[in-house]
Amino acid sequence: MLRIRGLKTYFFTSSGVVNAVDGVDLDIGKGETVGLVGESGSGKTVTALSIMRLIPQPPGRIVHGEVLLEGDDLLKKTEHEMRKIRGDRVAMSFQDPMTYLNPVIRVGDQIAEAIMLHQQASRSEAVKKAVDAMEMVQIPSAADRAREYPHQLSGGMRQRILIAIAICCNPDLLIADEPTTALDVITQDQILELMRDLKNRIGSSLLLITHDLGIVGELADHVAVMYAGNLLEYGDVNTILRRPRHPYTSGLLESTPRIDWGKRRLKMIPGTIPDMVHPPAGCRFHPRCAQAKASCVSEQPKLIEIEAGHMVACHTTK
Amino acid sequence: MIKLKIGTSKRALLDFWRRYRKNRAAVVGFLGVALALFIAVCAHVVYPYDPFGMRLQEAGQSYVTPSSEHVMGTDQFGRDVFGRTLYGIRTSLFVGVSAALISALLGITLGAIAGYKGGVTDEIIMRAVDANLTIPTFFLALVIVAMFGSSISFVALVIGFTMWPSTSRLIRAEFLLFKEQTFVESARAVGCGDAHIIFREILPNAIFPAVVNLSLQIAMAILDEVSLSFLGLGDPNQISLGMMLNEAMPSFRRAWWLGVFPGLVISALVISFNLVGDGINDALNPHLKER
Amino acid sequence: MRRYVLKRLLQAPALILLVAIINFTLIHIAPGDPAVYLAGSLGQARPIEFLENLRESMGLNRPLHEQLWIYLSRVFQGDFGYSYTHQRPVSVLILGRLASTVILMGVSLLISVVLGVLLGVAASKKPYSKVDNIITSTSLIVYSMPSFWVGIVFILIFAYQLGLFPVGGMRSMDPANPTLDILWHLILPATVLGLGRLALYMRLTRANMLEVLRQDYVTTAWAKGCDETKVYYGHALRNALLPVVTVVGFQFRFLLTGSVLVETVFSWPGIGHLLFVSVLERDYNLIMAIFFFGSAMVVIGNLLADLAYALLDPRIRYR
Repeated sequence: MLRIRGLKTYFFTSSGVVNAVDGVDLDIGKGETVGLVGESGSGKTVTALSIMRLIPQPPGRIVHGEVLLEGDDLLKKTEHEMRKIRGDRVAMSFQDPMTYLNPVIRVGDQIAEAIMLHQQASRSEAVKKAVDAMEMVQIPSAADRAREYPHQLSGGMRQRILIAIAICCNPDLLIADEPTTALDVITQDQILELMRDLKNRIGSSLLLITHDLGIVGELADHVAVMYAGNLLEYGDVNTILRRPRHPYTSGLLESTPRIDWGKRRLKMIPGTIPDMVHPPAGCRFHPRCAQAKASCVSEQPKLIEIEAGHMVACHTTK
Repeated sequence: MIKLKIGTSKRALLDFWRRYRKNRAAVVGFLGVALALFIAVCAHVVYPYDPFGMRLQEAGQSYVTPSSEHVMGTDQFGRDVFGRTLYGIRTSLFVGVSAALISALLGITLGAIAGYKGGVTDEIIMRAVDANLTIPTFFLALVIVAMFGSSISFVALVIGFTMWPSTSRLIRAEFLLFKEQTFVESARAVGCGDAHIIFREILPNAIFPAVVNLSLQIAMAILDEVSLSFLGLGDPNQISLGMMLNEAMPSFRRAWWLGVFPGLVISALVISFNLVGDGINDALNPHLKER
Repeated sequence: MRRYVLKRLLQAPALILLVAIINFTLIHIAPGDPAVYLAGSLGQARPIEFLENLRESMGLNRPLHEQLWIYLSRVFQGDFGYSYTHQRPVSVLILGRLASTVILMGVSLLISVVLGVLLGVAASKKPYSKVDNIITSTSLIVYSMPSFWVGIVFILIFAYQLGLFPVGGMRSMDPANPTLDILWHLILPATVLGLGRLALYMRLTRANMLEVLRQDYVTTAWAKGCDETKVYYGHALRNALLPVVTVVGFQFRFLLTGSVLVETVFSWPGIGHLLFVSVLERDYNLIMAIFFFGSAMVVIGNLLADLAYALLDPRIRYR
């Protein structure tokens, strides 16, 4: 349903050009959930914003690629056409529920706005549908809550409102950017439950952006691992989580605590993400990789399908 | 923005000047101010005729339209408007600069004390500031000048007295930031008294907002002076641009130049000081201009 | 919110009281005889018996604290003395003209704020562009011009040369439509007064908008599919305008000062013009009374603006 080919989004700043997304291919099938995983700064959010065409024009620009939504290239659409698509066929929910909600507008109205934009609904109809959306995201006494302002709600509720805004027009593709990061563990769990429930009910495809592999395990069908603007590994969720082939993916898994480990020292991946204005030559992960070889420094590895449906970009896997 | 203790090195001044120069509007303002100052100081040299001199007896001298002999025309008494304008600039500049300096003096001192001491002293001074910012201070100045006399120095004093609160707020904010810093603590540890700390340690660093503000305050003071004399409360022994506009009112239907030129000059003066003030502000805080 | 409202409600009368006390102080520290200042116009020319009577009735021969009490009680009973030139009590005189000034101030405030905000939004759409620079510098130039001069120039151009508007005053002799007639007279002075502070509101709105447009919730609005108008006016401006309300409150004093000058130039029959006349006549009593009323107006206006802000910002209203 969504096919991304060769997406490159660069930011032209006064200190240099940041290759935030440097050649990414991704497929999301109908009704499928794909988890996009990586550290902060890997380019996951920029990828999502590129799909929505919400990249701030100076200093950013999508310099190359195709984003095919059911065959339609979003990158070739006019701004006017994109406005019709945003919120309707492709919708996004964001990370920090406090700052992403307008503090002076009632939450119900913020949802109703999206409905009025895309569906020919009157004000009262839109508000009713907004309340329905709020009930779908499991907000108790939704009708009363709709008249409240963001600061009157708890963090978990606000995140639900953001999700409600995203799903209220039944999008074909829902992009959820770190839906649980700003929340406490118990609320995280509730949101996860909610998302699983929504997935089954609505049937939209879901692009789940997160750095938390646990969530990916719970919700996703496929996983894509991103690092420094490149896609390093892609495959079915069970395969990736059980038998990762890229050193970075294994590193990520080993640094995530698991309940069946007992007492064990967490292994960290040494180093930090590279300077994106001057990324390392060859494979961008090589300075931090224990298995780096000579070819890793000289040549950037391409994504190769090493087994059915499992792609890896690494010189050390054969 | 943690400010370390700085000195004004020659390098810093040159840097500042370089940044300031880039702003064309600010340079224009600077030229305007320089010109005004020049006129104020050398008016009687530039214009050797007597601006008070009335030439009624000479026929056809009153209400002369602007010509090569009288660049801005003459008024109902045959006095040359251009000459009177030059002297008016001197008056306005005198009041403007004096008032701004008085306001700075009062504002810095009170703001420093309020910010440094805190507590009750701070509360009292801040209440005074709040009250001042709500009440129409121009009215107050008007009442005082009407009752106490309108000599030029007194007018400057009164205007300055109505302007100090805004400066003091700025200085107080700076002091609140600075008094927690380590160099203050070390000064205190060595045994320096409060006055020394306020004036020799913190003030050289905290004074910038007031300096930036000075030009803008001069602009405001000039407007106040001109307004007061327009209402008839200026110094009768001085020529004021506001007074000229007042005298122009009954006859400006037939003599438009009486109403237009003095106001033009006032506007030019005020714009110049405003541009300089903005220019200084931008040059001192270059990071605010970047996107 | 309750605490906030209460605090402001208590401050207002305190300030008004302060103004009365200031007046009282001025009467007594000014050079000369206090009775002269209370005697109305041409105070010094009054016969001695008159002054003596005045002294008695105002209790000027009593100790200072008693005088203060008498003065304050008179003020709060609305007794500001009598104006001989205008043949009526001062309070009646002032109240009669108050409405004209309020109309002038109100309309010019509307012009100031509405135009200023619209220009500010326009400037924020393309910051640092040519349009932005033009708007910003033009408003700075207008801001620097003395309002009474702008008034004179406007009269020269629009009233004398072009004959579009009346030269001054509030009413014509025999108007066909009285309300429209007043409006016709109102346009020029209100515009002149409004221009004075326009730059301020423009700059403020522009700065606030630039700040707000960087906020995350604006991204959400774009992501919903809102167009530029909706984002700017429906989302950003709602937030950017809040501080403007507070600033409007603080600007009331300049509005009042400006109206004095503008009313004088246009002979608009409000309390500003009255002030000008009383300065000419050296009627100190009237001057001080106008100062008092003017201050009271500004304080109340300020209070209303603060209350409006508390109502408009839901973060304060629903604490």
